[in-house]
Parts: sequence; structure tokens; C-alpha cells
Amino acid sequence: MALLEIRGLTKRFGGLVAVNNVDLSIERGEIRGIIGPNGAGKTTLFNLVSGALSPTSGTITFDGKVVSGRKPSHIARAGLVRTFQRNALFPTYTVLENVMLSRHTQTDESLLKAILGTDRRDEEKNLARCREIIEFLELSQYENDLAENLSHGHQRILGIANALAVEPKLIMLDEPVAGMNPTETAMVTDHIRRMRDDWNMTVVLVEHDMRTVMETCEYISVINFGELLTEGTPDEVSENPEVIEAYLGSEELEL
Amino acid sequence: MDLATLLQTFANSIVAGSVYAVIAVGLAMAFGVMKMANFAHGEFFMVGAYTVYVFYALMGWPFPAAVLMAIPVVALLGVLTERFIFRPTRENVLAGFMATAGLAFILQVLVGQIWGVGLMRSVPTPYMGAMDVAGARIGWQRVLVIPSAAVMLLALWYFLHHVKAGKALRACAQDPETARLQGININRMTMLAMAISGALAGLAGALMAPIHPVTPYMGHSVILTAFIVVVMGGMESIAGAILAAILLGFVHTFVTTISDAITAQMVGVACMAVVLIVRPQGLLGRVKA
Amino acid sequence: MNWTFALFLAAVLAGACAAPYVVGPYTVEILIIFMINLILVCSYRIPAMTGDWTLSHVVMMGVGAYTTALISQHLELSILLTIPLSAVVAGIVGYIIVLPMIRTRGFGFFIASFAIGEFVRLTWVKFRDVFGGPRGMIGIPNGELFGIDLFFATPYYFFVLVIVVICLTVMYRLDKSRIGSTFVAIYKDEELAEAIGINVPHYRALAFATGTFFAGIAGALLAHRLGAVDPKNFDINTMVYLIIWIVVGGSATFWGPIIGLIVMTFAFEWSRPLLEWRPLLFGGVLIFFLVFLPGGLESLWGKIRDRFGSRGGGNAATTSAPAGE
Repeated sequence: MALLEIRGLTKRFGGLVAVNNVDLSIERGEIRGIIGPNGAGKTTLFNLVSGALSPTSGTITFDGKVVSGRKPSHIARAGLVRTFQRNALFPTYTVLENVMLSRHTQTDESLLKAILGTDRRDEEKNLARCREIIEFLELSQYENDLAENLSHGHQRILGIANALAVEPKLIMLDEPVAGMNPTETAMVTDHIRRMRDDWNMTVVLVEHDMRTVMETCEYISVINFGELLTEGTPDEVSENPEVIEAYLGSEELEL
Repeated sequence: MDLATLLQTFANSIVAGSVYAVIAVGLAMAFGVMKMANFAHGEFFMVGAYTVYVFYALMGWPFPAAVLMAIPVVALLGVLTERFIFRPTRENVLAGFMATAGLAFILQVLVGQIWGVGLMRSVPTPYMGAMDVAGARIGWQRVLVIPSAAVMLLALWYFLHHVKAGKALRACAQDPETARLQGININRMTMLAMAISGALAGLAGALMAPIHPVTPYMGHSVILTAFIVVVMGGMESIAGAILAAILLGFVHTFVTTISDAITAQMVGVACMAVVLIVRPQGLLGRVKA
Repeated sequence: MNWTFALFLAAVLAGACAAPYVVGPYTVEILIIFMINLILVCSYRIPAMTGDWTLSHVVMMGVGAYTTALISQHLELSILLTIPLSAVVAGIVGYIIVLPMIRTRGFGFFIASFAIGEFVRLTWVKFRDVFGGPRGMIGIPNGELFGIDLFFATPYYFFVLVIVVICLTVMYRLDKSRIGSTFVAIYKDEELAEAIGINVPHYRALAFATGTFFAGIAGALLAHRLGAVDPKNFDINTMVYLIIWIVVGGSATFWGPIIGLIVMTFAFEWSRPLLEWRPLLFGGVLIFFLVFLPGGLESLWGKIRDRFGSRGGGNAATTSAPAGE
């Protein structure tokens, strides 16, 4: 069974159907792109999978467990972690402190342990792992800088580092290169590939920027008007007349 | 409960509901414009009552004139509160709210030191006699509250919908950023909102002075009720505040008649808790995206 | 913990042990109340770490006090049992009342806690047979420990001192613990906290109940000392004084509320000659700090450090000022 199975997923807001009967299945080790013109329902789909919204109908199965309708924290603990379009970090903390704070699920903290002072026992191990994540994302030289003082690109990458601290099986990135310059974009696409190649992670990329998706993903799902339009390799998708029409309709094709 | 008691309780409910409405609408309005949460709203009510005490009971002015005097007095208080408390703490709702708790202390002490803390001030009833309906007797002074409240709320409605400044105020409550871009001066609007909010609290206090014990601490019982009404109504919704005020007026009065005042307070709080659980945005509140 | 700090703590503790033999009996009573307030003010900060400022904390202290009163009325238990029992009851009541409140945040939470706290307080006024009604309950024993009657100020002083040291140590550990970081993460960015696997409602409820647990200890200590409980002691006025301590000191670090309490206890004693004018002074102080120094006195330290010398990496600011929306 695929790692992430979405069956008949539908979300209505009053009379508006934002996501309509979507089926998706994402295998372990994939780098999957989900694209679509503005207002196609990408963000709603994203929020449904991450638990920020509850579906009207349909099921989401992750790693053999039904997670649709569960809280975001539950889904994150199951190993499906999201990032945000905004800069999701703790601004008054250093880079290392940020990643350590995000380590919540990997500790067995409790009130009693806090009082007895035994909750920091695994801290050495956690610290080593957080440093590893920071190094992996090439943030080591900023380890002790306050997050709010980082450049935009590095703040976005720190957002990914915070997500990686949860040790996800699947990481879902929400427009990770938005607002980045070409150098930063190349850096992020490289990180994404290495996450899969070196750390065996499954990556889902919900992205507006077509070029990034075409260069990074092996398989792409296209959403339009809340429905799954088509799926295929980047070449298949970019030659699909329906996709071209959908994007031309909103004048956003930048290939 | 016999018919006379029922009628009497019914009438008292409407009286209580009208007063709650006038007080709570002022609170909701200030909250609607730039989230000014006034903990001293009950003390504004108290100052309104003392205004009537001073001008009517001590200086012998006619009662309606003394009531009208509460408008400038408490509106000024509202404006000062906006300028020196809410404006500097604008980005933080809780800070403004806590600071006005300090203001409540100050007003209680000042009024208590000037006119005495001990016994309540007695304000003679200007309109003696009572209305007699099917054996139920309702004092004229109480009856008077209903049309007065209705006139105030209608005047407010007219102001908000048909006067330029009122429309600007509504625009500012809906979306301060857009309002500012359209050239509306936000500081002037917050000041206006607090002036109206204060005037309404003051008028309510002034009207109640002859039938409510006038003490420096009379605001205490008012503030909790007012916040229950506003939370139930939906924080920023004026219509919601009026609806919740009338509901709570009935709940309080009937429970007080059947049981006692403390139970009535508890039931009121419980109503609010239920609304918060079932419908956190309040009866007529909108869900914020 | 560095050496200067350890030395400083040792000095404070030594001073606290010597105090009852140096100062007069009136001052010892004040110090007892001060130490009880110390537990109260520090416990207020626990839910505030997650961003939840409440107006029911003093009522929760009252739950502890009333539990003590009821226990001593119906059972003859040692003071070593009434205090933890009162704390547990306050913790449970806190957990129950926070469940509906958890649906609100910021100002809504503040108001909801006001109303629900008032509901709890009114039950004491309402149910005369159980809680004594508007006059409260009297005849709570001062307690006895190892054959020593705690009626006398000095033994009770040392008893409270031991409990305060335990409570503050536990709360300090909590502040520095993983779970403390989790609370602060919720305050800083609720959405991000959920995304990294923190069950936000659960931890907010936990923080609230932990806070009320310690408030319950403070209430039990107060009830044993005063020998009586009165619903008026736990009303919104008292609550505003608690808020003043927190606002004056600040709530970003563990030390802020303590600084606030120390400063305001001195201010309270010195302003005794002002009599009825005193609330005016305190109201003015509250407004002054919220308008001109919203970070409280503790934020002055950071400002001084910023001016003279460099600032390190710093995880300094945790919760700064009252939580906004």
C-alpha cells in the first residue's frame, strides 16, 4: 500500500466545492509535485491532508492509519509534517534553539520528568541530531544567530529544518521557494533531492513555480477547479493540452 | 406564580433588558473599533449615577437636565481614557483591559473620597406613583427606562447609518486598514467610539440613579453582566448585544423572582459558558477567517 | 546555575531563616503572607507561558482554601495531608473549568475565566450549608506538626518557608524543562506548534491545571493561617492586585513576577498611611506600567544590558508583556 492514500476527498464551504472527489496515492520515496493554477484548491487540499481542515467526505490514509479529520499535531506525530508559506519559526530564538524546540515529538516529556529533572537525559542525543539537521540544510554557520536576523531564504530553510526535527516519513512543502532568488531556489531544490536520496524521505511539493516542480519532481499531479486534472511525468504533464489550457486560462504558464 | 407576579416580572425583565442593552452596546461598540475593552465601563455607569446625584439631588436641577448632563461628563471620561490608556496600548487588547482595571480603582477611590464611601447616596425618585396593570404595579420611574433606552438605541442606529461620522465609525470597525486608506482618521474614530461608549454607560447610570443604590462600587455588579452580554452577543456585534441583553434581562429577573439574585448571576454566567462552548463567536458574531 | 547565583540563593535562604529572630512579630506575619503570595504569583505564570492570562487564579486559590476549610470541618487530618489534598482538588477543578475555556484565546479566554471563576465563587455564597454563604467559614485549625503548634508565627513561618522552597524549586524546574519550552512554543506560534506535533489544547489545559494546583497550595496555607475563609477575599479586586504584581515585575522570565511581588509588597506596606487612597495609587501604578513599561521591571535589566555591553545569543524573551491577539 502506498504511504499516503487519498480516496474520494471532498471539501465544501457552504455551496462552494473547493476540493471535489480527489484520489491521490503517493508511494514511499517519491518526490511528488502538486500543481495547479491559482484558486485550483491546492491550499485546501494541503490543509485537509495536514489536518488544519476536516474533509466533508473521503478518507486520507497515512502509513496504514486513517488520519482524515484528526488534529494537525496527531498527523505530525504519525510522521506527516508540513511546512508553511509564511516564515514559520520562533523569531526570538537562535537557529539551534528553533530546531530543538521543534523536537517535541522525539522526547518523552512529562510533568513528572520535568520536576525530577530527568527530561533532559536524551538532550545530548537530541542536540547531536538537531546539529545534523542544521548541517544537512547548510545552516551550520548561522546556528547561534537569532532566527529573526536571518535572510528570507534562510528563514524559509529554517522552517524546513523545524519540520525535519519532527523526523517525518513524509514532508509536505507549501511553496518552499516562494519569494526566493535563483541561488536560494537551487539550494532548496538540492535539499529536497537529498532529503529523499540520503534520508529516504518522501516529499510532496505543492508549488506555484512550474520550473521548480518540473526540475525536482519525478511525478506530478495537476489540480484544477478542485478536481484532479491529470497525473504524469513532467514531460507528459507539460505536453498535456488540458494542462496547458488550464494554465493559459489563468495566463501563468512560465516554462 | 400568579398572573400579577408574572406580569410584574415580565415588565421588570424588559426594564432590566433595556438597561443591559444600553450598557452593553457601549461596550461592544468600543470593542468593535480597534478592540478597546473597557474594564472601567461599570465605573462609567457609576459616574453617570453620581452626576444625577450631584445635579439633581444636591443642586436641585430638574431630573431630565441632570440626566442629560451625564452625556458630556462621562463622554469626556471616555475620551480621556481613549487618549491616555487605549491609544498607547492599542496593539495589545489585554494591556488596555488591565489598565482600565486600574482606572476602575482610581474612579472608585475618587468618587468615594469626594462623596463618601459608607452609606449609599439617596437620590429621591422624581416620578412618583406606579402603573397598575392587572394587579401588577410597576413604578413610573422604572417604566420610564424603557422608552429612554429605546430612544438612545434608535438615536445610535440613526447616527451609525445616516450620519457621515457614524458611517465612518462603522467602516473603521469593519476594516481599520481600508478605512485609513480612505482617509478616515483612526485616532478621531477611536475617540468618538469611546465618547459614545462612555455617554451610553453614563446615561444608563443616570437613569438608574433613583432606583439603584448609588455607591462608589455599584459598577462591580454591572461589569460582569455587561461582559456576559457582550460575549454572548458576539463581542463586536451591536445587534447581538441587544439580543443577548434582552435574553439576559429575562433570565436574571425570572431566576431572581423564583430563586434569588445569586442564582440569577450563576445562571447568567452558565448561559455565557454554554454559548462559548457551542458557538464561540457569539449569537450574532461572525467567524473570523 | 553558576556560583554567584548559588551564593545569592544561599544568602537569601540564610536571611529568610534568620528573619523571624530579627524582625518583629507583625513583620513575621507579613512575611508569611508574602511567601504565600510568592507561590500564587509564580503559579500564575505557568498558564501565562502558553499565552493564557486568566482572571480566575485567585478563585482557584480560594478552591484550595475552601477545601482546607471543609476537610478540617469534617475530617481531622494532619496539615501535611490537607495541603496536598487542597492542591489536588484545585488542580482538578482547574482542569474541569479550563475545558470549555480552551475554545477561546487571548481576550476571550481572559473574560471567560472571569465569568467561570465568578461562577465558582458564587457557589460559595449560594450554598450556605456547605460553604457558609457570604460570611464564609471559620474555625480552621492552624495545624500541628511533630507536636509543635503552628498557631505561633515563627513555627508557621518555617513551615511555609519549607513549602515555598519546594514549590518554587518545582516551578523553576518546570520553567527550564522541555515541557516549559513546549508551553512557550504554544505562546509564540500556535499554528506552528500544532504542525510540529504539539497537542495545543492538551498542553494549554495541562499548564492551566498545574497553575491552579499551586494556587491551591497557596490557598490552603492562607486558610490555615487566617483560620477563616471569606468569599470576598477571592473576588476580582484581589485578582487585580495579583495582575498588578505580574505587570509590575514582568512575565517573560521566572523572576519577573517575584520582582513585582517584592516591590509591590514594599509599596503596599509603605502606603499604609494613605488608607483609602491606596487603591488609587495601585491603579495608577498599573496604568503606568502597562503604558510606559509593558515588559515590567525585569525588562529594564535587558535594556541596561543592551546599553552597556554586548548581548549573547540569548533565549531571553519568552513571554513578553500580556499576550496580544
